This record gives sequence, structure tokens and C-alpha cells, in this order.
Amino acid sequence: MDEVGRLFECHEYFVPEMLIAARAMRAALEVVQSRLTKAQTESKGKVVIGTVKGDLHDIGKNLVAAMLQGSGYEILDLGTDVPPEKFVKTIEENKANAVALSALLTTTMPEMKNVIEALVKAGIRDRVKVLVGGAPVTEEFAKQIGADGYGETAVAAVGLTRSLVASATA
Amino acid sequence: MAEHLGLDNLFFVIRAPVWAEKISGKDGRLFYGDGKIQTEKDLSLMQFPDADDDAFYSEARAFLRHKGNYPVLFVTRIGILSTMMSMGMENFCVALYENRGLVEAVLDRYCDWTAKVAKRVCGLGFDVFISTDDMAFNTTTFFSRAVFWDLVLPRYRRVRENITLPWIVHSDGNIAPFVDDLVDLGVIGLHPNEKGAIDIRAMKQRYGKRLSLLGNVDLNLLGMATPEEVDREVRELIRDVGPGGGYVVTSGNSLAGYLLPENVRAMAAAVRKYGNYPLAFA
Ligand code: B12
Repeated sequence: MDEVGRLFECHEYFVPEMLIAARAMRAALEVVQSRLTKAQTESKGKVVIGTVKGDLHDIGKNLVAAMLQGSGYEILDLGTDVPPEKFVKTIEENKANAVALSALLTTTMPEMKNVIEALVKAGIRDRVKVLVGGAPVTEEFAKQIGADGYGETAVAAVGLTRSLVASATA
Repeated sequence: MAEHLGLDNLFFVIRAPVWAEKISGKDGRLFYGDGKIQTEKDLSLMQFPDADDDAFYSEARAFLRHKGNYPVLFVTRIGILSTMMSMGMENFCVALYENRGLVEAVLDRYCDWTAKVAKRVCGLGFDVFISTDDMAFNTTTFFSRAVFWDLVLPRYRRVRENITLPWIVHSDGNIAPFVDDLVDLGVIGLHPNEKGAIDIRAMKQRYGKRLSLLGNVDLNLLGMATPEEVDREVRELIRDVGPGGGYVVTSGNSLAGYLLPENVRAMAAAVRKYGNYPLAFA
């Protein structure tokens, strides 16, 4: 998936090639995982992912999920239009290391802040890294709402997760 | 309404149906979920309204009778976006590689229908023909130029024969990789030159003589900034893209419901203030 990501970054691969690679990877993972013991399939960390409330765009979110899964993370994909409480509940129940939030609309970007506030309220903000992304989201906005990182592309999401989750588990 | 917002044109939309699950999102916006055309068997679902029936155009004719002094843009989709939505993005992507015939069959049905509609509406009294098939996102196009050449262009050429009005193409995102082909196809205008995805100043340099450019006024600005900031942005756009003509000031996508009315009015006011030729910038 790293190579697929590289080709996507340099505009040799496009959305179809990414989605097909992701599908092949999921099929391969299923086969591999069914043959390995639990200890052997230990993931690098758990990442909860979803498109925030009010927003139904999911193509980018799916690519991010695929790239993270391909890099060895366990993905809990909550789909689209996900309310803050659902993010919090899933993170708590699964002791997730990170949460990746996607928003494609100016009007749903504030929902990212609501998720962070809900994490603070639940007392688990310091236990989970918050990554944000999606077409209208910027580095500046990420800082402003107190997220831990922003990624412009699905490939950036992998690098970001690696550095954030490693620094958290180190 | 048009007067209130300071608009100088109207538009009328006829689009083919999309065969996908419909989900109504926040603020009553419509959103398409899973596509219903998954296999050849589903092609029979694609029953279009009769484009040869005069009655199908009666609303359009009524609209044109009441247009007053406004020019009217006709808006439709040629069909590649409808194809992606009716098949569902993931299924469309897989089929591109594993069942190209199905993609072609769906797109053919759309293009054949649009070609008929184009032929009829171009004679009704509209001023401009606009097709709105999104083919790109922020960094690049959805699919490669090779797919665009093999799949999309030959079919668009067929529809092109029936478009006798000036043709403007709308696509969100960074559509730049396809623009040479669109110009060759006879497209004379490009909308919305989305800010952050397209550098409209670079487009002006490259295509200024061959293509009208429309849009680029940032939705974030229209939705969140002050009227003064909108005024400044429009002024700079007219200063940089206006010389020589061929620039139409408008939002970098649509006048979405969440924009601030005072900012939309500020955009229109700025056009009147800075947009008179000869331009005041020397
Ligand atoms: C395809 C599309 C749709 C499809 C969605 C299909 C689907 N199942 O997702 C349809 C046609 C249904 C649609 C509907 C709407 N859309 Co729309 N849509 C787009 C479009 C053209 C492309 C988005 C896309 O899928 N890109 C492909 C993926 C791969 O890119 P991406 O999502 O940006 O993700 C990449 C990165 O951002 C990043 N990333 C994404 N998420 C995350 C998360 C993390 C943590 C990280 C690190 C990275 C990351 O990784 C990805 C890969 O590199 C964009 C245009 C654009 N410029 O993006 C408009 C756009 C997003 N839509 C827009 C609008 C307004 C709408 C509607 C409101 C239209 C309407 N009037 O009804 C509705 C929204 C309904 C709703 N409630 O959500 C606007 C939003 C404007 C704004 N700033 O608010 C855009 C920007 C178009 C525009 N120029 O105005 N849309």
C-alpha cells in the first residue's frame, strides 16, 4: 500500500486504482489473518475513523482507512454522519490510540471541534490522538481546534499516524 | 430574487435521473448513497423520461417566456458523474478494470439521452449550455487522462454535435489535466475554478485567449468572511483575471444555502464597482 500511496501522490494512480488496491489488500489480509495466531497479528494500534455529523462524503475517508489498514493499523470505521458521542463511545470501548475525522463541508468542519470537546468532557482527550482532514480543512484550522495533526492526503495520514501513535506508545 | 442578490442571469436545469439510494441530509440537502446499477441486470432500471416528447420541455418554454431581460443558462449533466453515482463510486472503480462494458453501457445510455435533450433545448431560446459533471477533487482528477480519453471523450464528442449554443463545463476540483481536451472538444468556458484546487491566474495565462473563466470566489470567504474581505477578493480577481475580458465573477462552486447573503451582495456590488471596462487598474 505504501507503493500505491506513492503512485497516488505523484498522480500516476487515481481513485479507481487506490480503491482496487485497497480491496485486494483487504482480501489478502483476511486470508493472512485467518492463518496467524492472535499474537502474530498484533496491530500497530487502533484507529477509529469516520466522517463527522451532517457530512456524508466518504470517498476520501475510505482511502484514508484503506491506507492505514494497509500500514498495519486496526481500523474501526464508523461510516458517515457520525455524532460525537459515537466517536467517544467507540474510542472508550476499544481503547483506540487515535481517531481520524473527515469533513468535506465548511458547515461540518465545526463538528470536528465538537468531537474534541466531547473527548475532553469524557476525560479521555489525553489518551487519544486526533487527526483531521478533508478538502476544506487546513493545518491552521487543525491547530485552532486543538487537533494533534492534519493531513492533506491519505498518504499523509499514514505518516501522521505513525509519528503520533509511536510517540504516544513510546 | 435575482435582483435582490444582484445576479445578471438566470438558469434552468434539466437532468437525467440518478439511480441511487437517496438520503436526505442536513438542511434538506439531497445526497446519493449506494448506486443501484451494479450489474448488467440492473440496466433495465434506467428508464429515462421521453426526450422526444414536446411536453417534456413545456416548463422550460414557460420559464423562457418569463425571463424578462435576463439571459438564461441551460444546465444539465452529460453523464459521467451520473454514471459514477448510479453505479456507486467503488463499484464504478472496480468495473473500470473488471467490467468496462458495464460502465460503457451506463454512460452510453446517459449520453444518448443528453444528446437528444441538447438538440431540443438548444433551439428553445436559451443563451448558454452548461454541463455539470464533477470529475475532480482538490489535488487532481478522479480518474486518469487515459480513462478520460478512452471512456469519456468519444461519448462527449457525440453529444457535442448537438450542442449549438456556447458550451461551458463545470467541474469541481482540480480539472486542469483535462482542460486541453475540453478546449479541443469546443468548450468555450470553464467553471467554477475552485479556489485551492485551481490557480485561476495560471489558467488565465495558459488559456486566456481560448477559454472564458468563471468563478473562483471562495465559498469559505462567502460563507464566513466579512463583506469588506469579499470586496477585496473580487477586486483582486478582476485586476488579475479581468484584463482582456473573458472572466465571469461568480462563486467558486454554487450559491450554497449556508452562504451569507450580505457577502453575496458584496460580491455583486464589487463587480459593478470594479468590473467596468476599461478596467481601472493600470
Ligand atoms: C464527490 C463529491 C460529492 C459526492 C459524494 C459521494 C460520496 N459518496 O462521498 C456527492 C455528489 C454526493 C456530493 C454531495 C454534496 N457535496 Co460534494 N463534493 C464532491 C467532490 C467533487 C469530491 C470529493 C471527493 O470524494 N474527493 C475524492 C477524495 C479522494 O478526496 P478527499 O475527500 O478530499 O480526501 C482526500 C484528502 O482530503 C484526505 N482526507 C480526507 N479525509 C481525511 C481525514 C484525515 C484524518 C486525513 C489525515 C486526511 C483526509 O485524503 C483523501 C485522499 O488523499 C468535492 C470537490 C472537492 N474539491 O473535493 C465536492 C464538495 C466537497 N461538495 C460540496 C458540497 C457543497 C456538496 C453538497 C452540499 C452539494 C449540495 N448542494 O447538495 C452535498 C453534501 C451532502 C452532505 N450532507 O454531505 C463542496 C463543499 C464546499 C464547502 N467548502 O463547504 C465541495 C468542496 C464542492 C465545492 N467546490 O463546493 N459531493
